[in-house]
Amino acid sequence: MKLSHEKIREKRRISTKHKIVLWVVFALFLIYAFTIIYPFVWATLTSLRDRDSFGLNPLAFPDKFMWSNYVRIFDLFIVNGVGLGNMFFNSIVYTALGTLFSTVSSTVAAYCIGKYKFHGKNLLYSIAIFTMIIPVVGAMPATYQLLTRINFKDNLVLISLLWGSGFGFNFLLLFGFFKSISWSYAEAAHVDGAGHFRVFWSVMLPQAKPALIAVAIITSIGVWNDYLTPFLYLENMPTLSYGLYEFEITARMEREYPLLFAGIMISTLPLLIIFIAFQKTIIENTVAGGLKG
Amino acid sequence: MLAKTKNKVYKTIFLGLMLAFPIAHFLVFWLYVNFDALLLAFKQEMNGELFYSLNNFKRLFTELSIRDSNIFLYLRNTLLFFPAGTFIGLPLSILFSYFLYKKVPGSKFFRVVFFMPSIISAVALTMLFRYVVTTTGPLGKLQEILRISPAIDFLGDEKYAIWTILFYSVWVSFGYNIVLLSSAMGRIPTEIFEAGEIDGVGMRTEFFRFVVPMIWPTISTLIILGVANMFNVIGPVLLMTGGTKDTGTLALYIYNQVKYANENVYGYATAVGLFFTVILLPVVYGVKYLLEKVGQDVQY
Repeated sequence: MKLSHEKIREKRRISTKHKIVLWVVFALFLIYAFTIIYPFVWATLTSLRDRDSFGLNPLAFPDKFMWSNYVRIFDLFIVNGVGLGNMFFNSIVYTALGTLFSTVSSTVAAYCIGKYKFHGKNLLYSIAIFTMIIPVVGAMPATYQLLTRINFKDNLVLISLLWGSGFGFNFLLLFGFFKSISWSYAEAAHVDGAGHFRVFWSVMLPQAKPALIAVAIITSIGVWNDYLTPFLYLENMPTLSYGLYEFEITARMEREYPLLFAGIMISTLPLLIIFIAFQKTIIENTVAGGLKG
Repeated sequence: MLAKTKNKVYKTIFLGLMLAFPIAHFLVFWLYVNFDALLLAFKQEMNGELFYSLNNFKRLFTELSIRDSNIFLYLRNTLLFFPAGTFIGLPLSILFSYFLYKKVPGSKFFRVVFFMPSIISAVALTMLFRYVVTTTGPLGKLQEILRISPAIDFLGDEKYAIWTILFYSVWVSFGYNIVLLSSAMGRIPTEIFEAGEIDGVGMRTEFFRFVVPMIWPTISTLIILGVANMFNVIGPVLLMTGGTKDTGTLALYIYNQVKYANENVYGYATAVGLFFTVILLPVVYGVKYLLEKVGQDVQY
């Protein structure tokens, strides 16, 4: 197709306009980004300050860098008798198990419902959608009573089982993913005599790896930062998120704000590093399709 | 014939083993717990005798009919979060994603920064926010410079507290939405845009006529999840004010009853939660139906 001069001029006009719009948006983005970054810069600097000089002027630049805050915090950040080191450990166990249960459970559910035909398949799909879009707010007291009765409280392993629902948002992400990948390799493997487990494990899962990584990372962020569950059920096994909440009260009383901010930094850094490392995988593979059924 | 039956048995065993855990989890932590909650809402104990009554629900209706009851306030506050998220937060997220997709200068950097509020523990993030908005923090300083006196205490003053929390919840909400929307936009076949540009289409047309319809399934899912979580507002309020300064919400009320009160108030807390879930049910499915009507499901 040959473009007329007029069309070309029109196109050029639009592209200049595009550029102006993009630069205006850039400026707005910069302002928003500043409001996100500034608190962190401030927190980082504050975490290195001396308690008394912070008290005099919370906004000032540190006059000397108190790296010792990051050592002292290991002695002073204690919640319900548990120190920072142990809280870190609890957070890692809780996150690893919660992520594992959630990812495995939603993977198998999404795979079976997405790739097999069987009785009850539609029922299971409807349940998955229903439980996701109708969160029952009033179930909290009953859940609490149940978990107290069966002695789940303060048990990291058992409490992380709460994350093992196969029918949440992760199900939706993975269901869409499994639907979209072809069954032809699996068919070929079946013809070659591979069983269902083998096909699942060696043919389908490798293809799903990027999506699984994305889901696992997003889940792990949620579990690591979860404070509502630890608040209720892990009082004597505090994770970092919950510990930080409790520590704030102590820190406020003793005016140890720099230590509090050091704690914030310690709880934040691991996730930030993981996210930046896996950014591309996450953004390319986190696809939520429509809700049907 | 025999081989076929054998195959079927294998398939059943496979599915049974695979689905055992998710189904067991659903039966215990959803079905059983909710059934129990239903009983709990009607259960009543008097003189050591158990019986079932509608008392909890009667009490709820009475409180709801009183304009300045706590429950009424919790309901009002709760209902503010959904429009803030869906009518302000979501459109902004879509615009953000669109401009990132159009490769605004520095889009790689912005992508990471915009997701930061979703990575950082809400406990830490609210803490930072609180110190930033106190009268002695950076925002207080700014008010001093602007000679606003007396300085507004955004979280300490009943007049502003809930609005400050709402603002915060929108301000930090873009992360996941942007990931999901960007991912959907990344899958739009580029030929569409190339054709669009030749036809001399401006950005606005491109956005409304091409991009939004193409990612409609994702948008509608986000809207539905927004409606679904309408009554599920706890986090920011708990961390910001703990529900003081007239900022309480229904879910936080239930949460606090579980955390701090003793078991004999569980019935009423459960009744409150169940009642609003039951109201929500037709709303969610209604919205879902409408959204399906509005946009056809695009496959590409």
